[in-house]
Amino acid sequence: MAIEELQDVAEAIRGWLREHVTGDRAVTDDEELISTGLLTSLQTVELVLFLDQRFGIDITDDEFVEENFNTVDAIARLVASKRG
Amino acid sequence: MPRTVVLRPYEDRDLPGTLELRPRVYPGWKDAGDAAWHTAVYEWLGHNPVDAPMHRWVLDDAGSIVGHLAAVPLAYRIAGARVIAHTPTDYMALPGYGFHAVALMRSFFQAVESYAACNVAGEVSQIEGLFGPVRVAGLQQAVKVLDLGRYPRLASPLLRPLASVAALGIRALDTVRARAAGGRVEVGEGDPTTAFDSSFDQLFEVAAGAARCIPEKTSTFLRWRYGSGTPRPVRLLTARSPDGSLLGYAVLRTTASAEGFVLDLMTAPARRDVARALLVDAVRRFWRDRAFVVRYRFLPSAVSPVRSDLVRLGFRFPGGARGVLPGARPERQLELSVKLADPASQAAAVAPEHWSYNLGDGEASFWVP
Repeated sequence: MAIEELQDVAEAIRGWLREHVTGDRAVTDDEELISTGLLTSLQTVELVLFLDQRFGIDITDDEFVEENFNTVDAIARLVASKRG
Repeated sequence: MPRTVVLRPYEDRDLPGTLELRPRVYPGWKDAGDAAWHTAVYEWLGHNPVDAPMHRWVLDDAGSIVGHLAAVPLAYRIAGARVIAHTPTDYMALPGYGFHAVALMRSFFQAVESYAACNVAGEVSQIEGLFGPVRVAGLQQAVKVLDLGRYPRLASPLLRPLASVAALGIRALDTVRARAAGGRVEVGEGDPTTAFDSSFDQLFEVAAGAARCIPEKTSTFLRWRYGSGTPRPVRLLTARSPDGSLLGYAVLRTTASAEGFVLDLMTAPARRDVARALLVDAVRRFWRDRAFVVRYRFLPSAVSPVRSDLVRLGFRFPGGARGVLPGARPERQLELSVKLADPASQAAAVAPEHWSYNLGDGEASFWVP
């Protein structure tokens, strides 16, 4: 995946987080989402469903780990790796 | 400061941590801090006659237990085959551990072969939904108000005497309804610690012939579920034919807060008269127990009461955002969902008309106070 496309994915995730989690506050690509307890369980479920609907990817059990979801950057890289 | 949260199997040393966690997660639940009772529940679950293991996991944040989930196995008869499915139970996580709470549920779905659960519609069912179960149906919620004067959340205490007078009227009306329901079915009370004999196995086999999907309510299961070890004692009503064969039974519980629950009511197929007789007697017993309301949650089937008979006996079916009592929350909407490993079993189980199911059959009722 090209860097531009990776940035587009990150932008979409940041937009989703702003709309559903942080309100007007912008989220940086390296802000920790899980280890700081930012995401609730329902927001986690909704984020996974968003990734499925927006990017057509299915998160497997093995991929559902903190390392893949702790930052916007990590989530974007996971999406990128699955889209090839 | 970033945390390192470990999701791992429950160990005996986690008992104090989980006992402390419950009241922190459920501060409004009166029994959440009842350590002796919760310990007794797990001892009882450990004697579950189903030959499959119970699983438990915890979230451990630097030695502090911040989340917990258990998986309880129960047996079902699905399209003629015995199916063991696990139900998530005692699911809790502190705020701030949302991702890990979902990871707990993921551990559940990784560990178990099949899943069946009856949940209050809401956050937990949405989390479970991520892992692919199919919603079968919402349970019917039959509610009968007996005595508003005993309702703890009555808006004004001044209304209490008035409500109690009204209750006398309702009770008199119930006597008339009971006569009108008529029938010659004799209902007796059984001792739940000794009554579950082979006649219950025979009734179950007949019921399983009429309902393609049904929790395996053999005498062994019923002895465990409602017998001497059960954490909350119940009342058992039975209806028998003159030759002594079992035509139906009902399991009742009146809680400490004076709520009456019909936990289970099962009859031989198409015996509306037996179901009516059991309901009439159940209402009479709840009056005697001084319950202020009766709740009966079930999926209609050939071995359950018919909705119109419940209405004739004064039950109502509140739905949506309406509560049946003044100032009360809307009635809890309970939904049955399944994810069974065997495709043929799953295909049979997703059809609501195939099911016989009562609140008392599953994990949702294990925590009825």
